[in-house]
Amino acid sequence: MRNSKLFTKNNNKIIYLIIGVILLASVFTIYFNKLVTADENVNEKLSQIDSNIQRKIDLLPNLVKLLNKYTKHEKDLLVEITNLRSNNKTNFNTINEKQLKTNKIFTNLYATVENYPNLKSSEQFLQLSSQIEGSENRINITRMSYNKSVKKYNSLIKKIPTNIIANILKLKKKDYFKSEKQNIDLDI
Amino acid sequence: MKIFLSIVLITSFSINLFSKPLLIKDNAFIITNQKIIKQYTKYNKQLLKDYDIDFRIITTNTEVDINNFSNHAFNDMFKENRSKSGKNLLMVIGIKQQKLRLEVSNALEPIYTDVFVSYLERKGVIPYFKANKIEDAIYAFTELIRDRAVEAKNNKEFIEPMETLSIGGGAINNLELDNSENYDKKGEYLSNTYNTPEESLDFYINEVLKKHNKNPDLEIYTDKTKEFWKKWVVTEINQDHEIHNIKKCNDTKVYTNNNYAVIRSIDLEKNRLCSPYFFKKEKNSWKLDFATMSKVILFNHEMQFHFDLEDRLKDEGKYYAFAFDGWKIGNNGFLFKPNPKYVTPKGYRWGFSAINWYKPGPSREEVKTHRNKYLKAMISYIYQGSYAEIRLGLQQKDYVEDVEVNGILHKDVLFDDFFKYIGEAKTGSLVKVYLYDYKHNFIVREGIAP
Repeated sequence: MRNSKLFTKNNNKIIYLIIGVILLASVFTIYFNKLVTADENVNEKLSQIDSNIQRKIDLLPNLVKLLNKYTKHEKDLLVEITNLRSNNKTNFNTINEKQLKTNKIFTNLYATVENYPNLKSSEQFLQLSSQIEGSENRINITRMSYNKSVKKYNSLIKKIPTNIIANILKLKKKDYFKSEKQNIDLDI
Repeated sequence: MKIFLSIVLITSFSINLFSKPLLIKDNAFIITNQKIIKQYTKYNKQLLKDYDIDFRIITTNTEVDINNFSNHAFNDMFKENRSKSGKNLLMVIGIKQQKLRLEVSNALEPIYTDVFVSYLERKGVIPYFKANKIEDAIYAFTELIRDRAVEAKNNKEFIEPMETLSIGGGAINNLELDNSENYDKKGEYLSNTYNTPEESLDFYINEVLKKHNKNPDLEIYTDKTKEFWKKWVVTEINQDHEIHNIKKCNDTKVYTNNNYAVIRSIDLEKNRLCSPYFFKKEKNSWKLDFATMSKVILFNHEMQFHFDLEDRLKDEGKYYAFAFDGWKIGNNGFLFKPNPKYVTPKGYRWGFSAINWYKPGPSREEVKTHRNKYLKAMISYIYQGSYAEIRLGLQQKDYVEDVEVNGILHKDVLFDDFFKYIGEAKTGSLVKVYLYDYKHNFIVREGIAP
């Protein structure tokens, strides 16, 4: 008797409503988590790029020290390196900027190295170069990996139903790193 | 239905059983020397078994940046992974771009650092490419990787198992492939007289190896060795390794016989890491005979020396056999202390026994009546470490046909004559025995009489 009272027409509506809300909340949670995971993935890749750039920057003093045996550098360069090393902000723009600055310094230092063939062929320089090249390669690989994560994230915030959640949370499209090396015709 | 299920099961099992991942993907079609590749494959399996390192190779003519290519190739090739702990290495040989890169997985980055890999490439592998010896380069790289793995295991440097992944670890270098054979032979020309083999060896260690002198024309080498070095690639890593190995020899002695000498460890079974050095007196100076050593001495994956059973007594190898008198040679070429029960008894010169045999043709009665006309010698027993084993290389079931002693060839020798002739050989003279071995191959065994 009690059960029959419970399932009256009005009560049924409330139950359906509750089930609907629960379903909606579950769907929201699932897609929200998907977005959060994708976002976190992008952030993780970004911090990996940053740590690889940092690794490359940490090699700068060694290169300068090696070059100092042949030529003297202006104080501005050392200040610039110190600033780069102390820059701890990790967002897309600062990382991009940091990389550009680092590359510029390395390009200038390498241009100086070209003038000293003995230095260029010395074991010390060759060892340092392999570390620098290794860091550059890691930066390149993590940048590609970052771009993949961004692609996944950006497509999520455009697709239904994640775009609705993204709109509610005001999530914005993320920027890609411009690819320096193209991937074509891999003969694997 | 049952039949269908059985077919599906058998097919999937067969696919798993036969789909072994490729160790070498030769997309540039540059690998031709199958002998070295066979050795590499053996080494490679050992790397996987002992250190769980899955080492693969890819050659390519791609024009894509080799760093990017390597990373993609790594991810592609190690989908079928053999390492259980994420220890993967990929050697990439870019022919069109003339680049060499070793891609290192995360789990191996602390062992094979960028600086170390670059050093291995420059000092241990590129010299082979410069000489256009691609398969030798592959083999050398495998050896160097193994050496570092041995060290890492001993020092407990390997980290916890990880997922197979590469984030760009490794190093890249220029290949500088060259067909001209003008590869690195740098080194000061040194001309000296060496009064003893020890003096010669000391000079070799301090003035050649330690100073990375690669000049093949040094007077410390025999004439044949000079020719040998001209065709052989020597790397600085090879030379450093040799110094490292010589340091393991602390209980050595010089064994001399006329113009030949060997410096070796006294206990050959205990000190297998200490390889012997051969010397020949030429122009009144003791010179290193690497030409013979390279033919006679082999090394296993643990760098233990052993003899090449086929080539041990060929060419000049036979002149150095005296230094190993009294040691038993195993089937694998390693030397052992003989069992005292089976060493040559007193009264034996060479240390073998023989039984008689006769060629098909005459009747048994005829042979019995005219024994001396038909019966020939078949080696039935060789005493361990005997001159017959070490110097002449005789083996059981050798059917003796002819014998050359003191410069005279005796054809179709009979049983008693064989013992007579071989017993008459002058000490230090060359003895040749023409025979059929147990596989019925006609061969010559030769050695220096004791």
